[in-house]
Amino acid sequence: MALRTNLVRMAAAAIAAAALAVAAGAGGAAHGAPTAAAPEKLTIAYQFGVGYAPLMIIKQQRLLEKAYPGLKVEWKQLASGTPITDGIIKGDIQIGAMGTGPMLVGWARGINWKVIAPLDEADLWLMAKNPAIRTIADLRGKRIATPTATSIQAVALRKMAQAKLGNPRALDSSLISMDHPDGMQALLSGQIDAHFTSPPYQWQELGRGARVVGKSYGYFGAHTFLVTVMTQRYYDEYRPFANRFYRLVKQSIDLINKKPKTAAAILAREDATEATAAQFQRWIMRKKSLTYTTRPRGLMRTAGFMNRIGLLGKVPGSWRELVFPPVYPTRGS
Amino acid sequence: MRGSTKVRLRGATRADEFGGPVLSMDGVRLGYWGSRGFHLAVEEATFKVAAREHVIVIGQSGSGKSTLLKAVAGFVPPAGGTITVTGRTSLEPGPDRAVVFQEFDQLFPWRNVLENVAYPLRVNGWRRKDAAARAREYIELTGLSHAADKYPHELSGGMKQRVAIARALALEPLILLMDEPFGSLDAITRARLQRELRGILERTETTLFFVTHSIDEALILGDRVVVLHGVPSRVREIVDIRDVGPPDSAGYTEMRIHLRELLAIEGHDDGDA
Amino acid sequence: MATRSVAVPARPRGALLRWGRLPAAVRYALLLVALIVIWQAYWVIKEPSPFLFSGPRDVAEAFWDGWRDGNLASVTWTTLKILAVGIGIGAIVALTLTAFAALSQIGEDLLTMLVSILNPLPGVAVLPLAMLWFGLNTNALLFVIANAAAWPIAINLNTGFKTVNPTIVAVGRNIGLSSRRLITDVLAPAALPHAITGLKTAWAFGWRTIIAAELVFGVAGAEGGLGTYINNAKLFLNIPQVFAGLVTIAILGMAFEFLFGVLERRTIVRWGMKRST
Repeated sequence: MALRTNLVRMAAAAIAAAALAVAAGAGGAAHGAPTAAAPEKLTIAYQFGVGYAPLMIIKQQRLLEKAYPGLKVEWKQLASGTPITDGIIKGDIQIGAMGTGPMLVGWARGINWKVIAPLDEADLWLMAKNPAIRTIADLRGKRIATPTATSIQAVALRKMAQAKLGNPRALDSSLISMDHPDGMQALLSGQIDAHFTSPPYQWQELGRGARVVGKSYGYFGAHTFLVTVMTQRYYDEYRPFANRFYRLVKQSIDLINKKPKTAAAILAREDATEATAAQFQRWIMRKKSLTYTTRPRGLMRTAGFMNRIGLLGKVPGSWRELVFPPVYPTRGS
Repeated sequence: MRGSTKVRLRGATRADEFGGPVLSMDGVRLGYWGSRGFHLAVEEATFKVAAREHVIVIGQSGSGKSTLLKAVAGFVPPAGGTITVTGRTSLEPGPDRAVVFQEFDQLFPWRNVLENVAYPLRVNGWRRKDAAARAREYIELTGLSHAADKYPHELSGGMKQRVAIARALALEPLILLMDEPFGSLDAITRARLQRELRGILERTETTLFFVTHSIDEALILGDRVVVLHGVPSRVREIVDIRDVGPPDSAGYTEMRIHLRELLAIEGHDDGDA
Repeated sequence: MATRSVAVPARPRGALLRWGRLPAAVRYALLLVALIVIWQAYWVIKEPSPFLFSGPRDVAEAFWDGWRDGNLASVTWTTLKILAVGIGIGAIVALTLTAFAALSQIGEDLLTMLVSILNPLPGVAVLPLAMLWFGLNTNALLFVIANAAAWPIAINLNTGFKTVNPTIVAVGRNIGLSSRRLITDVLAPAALPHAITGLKTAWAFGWRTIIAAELVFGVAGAEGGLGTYINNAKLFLNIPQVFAGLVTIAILGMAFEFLFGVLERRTIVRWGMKRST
């Protein structure tokens, strides 16, 4: 009798497992109802700067179209994270590339998005051209330009002010928002006193006589610079596609890291850029201040600081709350 | 000090001190530049106005009588001849020849009645309190005491003209210039103001230069009538009307006919000219 | 004694609902309440995305918070200061040009030409140029506001001077006013209705221009005004705060209309000089 019971139990378990497998399989197929595992159309938005290189490679190599024949991909290059955020809220943009600052702000405000693939870590430099400005303290009352008020640079500036001057708002009095190309021009022409910017602009400004007043790594440690985000709803609807996207980003990053010359040649084909392949190659090889990786770092530290100075309404319990599952194995922070 | 007692008048007194006529017009020629060149309005005007005298200049429309008044006031320079006021010949506009215009809107709308009368005094150096006191005297004289706080837009046409008269008289001018001041009023109000003006002129011993096209008005208000006639106009005759009787007398009617002839008015006597 | 029939006055408007019989303040208050109710109903029934819209309660909260911690007060003050100084500069330019125009033909020609060239320029369009000339500071904003304010004032003031009743000018000369006093004591008050119209127009243009210019200008820190406040709120996706900023603008607009009304009642209405606009 005991053996029959065991057999019955095993049979029941096997049937249950099979049923579960079928259900899972059927569920998986039925999940995006009519759209199967990939969307038909995709709008993906990014901004200006060599930090977006992994996306530029995907774009130039048409990796998405190759992975999903029939997929219509629209690439938009926008001047700041603000229209990208707006686009994602309205549903016009499905994947957006932006800095960690805007990503955190949106997350804390309840947009219900997460990071699908970080792009890189970068040391962001605060540049000044006026020889009289040597330290953070010299910046009191001076005109400082950052990208939008939610950018990681604006956050880093507050951290610098807190560390060196005791008050995170000490430099607030003449903060201006400018996008990177305008900011560089304004700094070099003397219209502003300092420019908190990013690669490659900070290197170009260095080459044209500006000096470094502060570096973000010095205050946050090595930290993520740019990420790509999508909404939870989109992820749930197109999970396999999202996973595939993550892998494509990783693949592009590998190309950059292992074959920089090839990568640089591909990047030079971007229309909006006037940089040559040689320039791109120099930039992507400055590994000390720009590292392409899908491993997020410093998210918790940044979020905590932003929350403490009132820029963020809530903090995540752990870094995993900010990213989708494909990113988990990277063991980020 | 109030009511029917004579108000001290320095205008006439100043004229007395000067001796001689207050106003002397000698061969005055007047014209203005129009689109078709220089247009001569008055070819020659010669007459005098003595202190306390009421001289009415009468003429048809377009006879240059208003231009004559403006020349005395200093707004229009003579093209020939001289205008002399107590010995002075180069004439800028000034309060010694205060003007009462025909238009109702000659008052400052942003000042009330008292202020409209007092302000010109302050402009001429009077202290605020003294100006207000003098203004009140003349406001009472013209029967406006109840309306001293009102603004011009709250007044009827007749009351506005009274204010203008009070303002002009308060300055105690050497000669009071009036340019058809009652022309825009209705007949009843006009008649009343004419009577009141006559009384006021007497009480204040004002020297008057009054322009009108109405014969009846001239007969009511004037001592002498200067008749302007022609194009360009000349002084046709100066008639003394002091001894003409009351309006229903034969003398009055004769004078009326005479003046109408002088003005060369054709057609019926419609009672207006 | 015969009886006389007394004419019955016409029914007041809205008497059917007795609406017209209520005092004005009550009528407006009731309408406002009705609008808020509709707003709340839309919020609750349609449930628009909180990133696109806000309900009255959240907006009221954001508004109250903004005033309590002084933020709204300080940015409003910053904007008003720039606006006042800018309009002041524009008014001085306008006065100078208008006086010149009143005194000479070439002044009149200069004014006409400047007005036709510069008046059509929207304030915000001039801002990038102003930022190049004056640098990235408040002076650029002042220039833009002054430009927006000067031309309405100049146009209206010039019309005012040209349409002064010549009789009272003659009276002014007759009582012995000097040229200077003629301008200050006769021409200026006579042109006051036009001056006020010009000022109201300049204020309206200036208000719109400064808010828009602040958005373009992009000042993020403590120097920011109401436009910056709204833009920042939007950046940080604090939509109730965006609405709170807009509500502040609306309230300020109403306040200034009220102030202008008081000014007019004390002056040109009292003097019977108000032209129907």
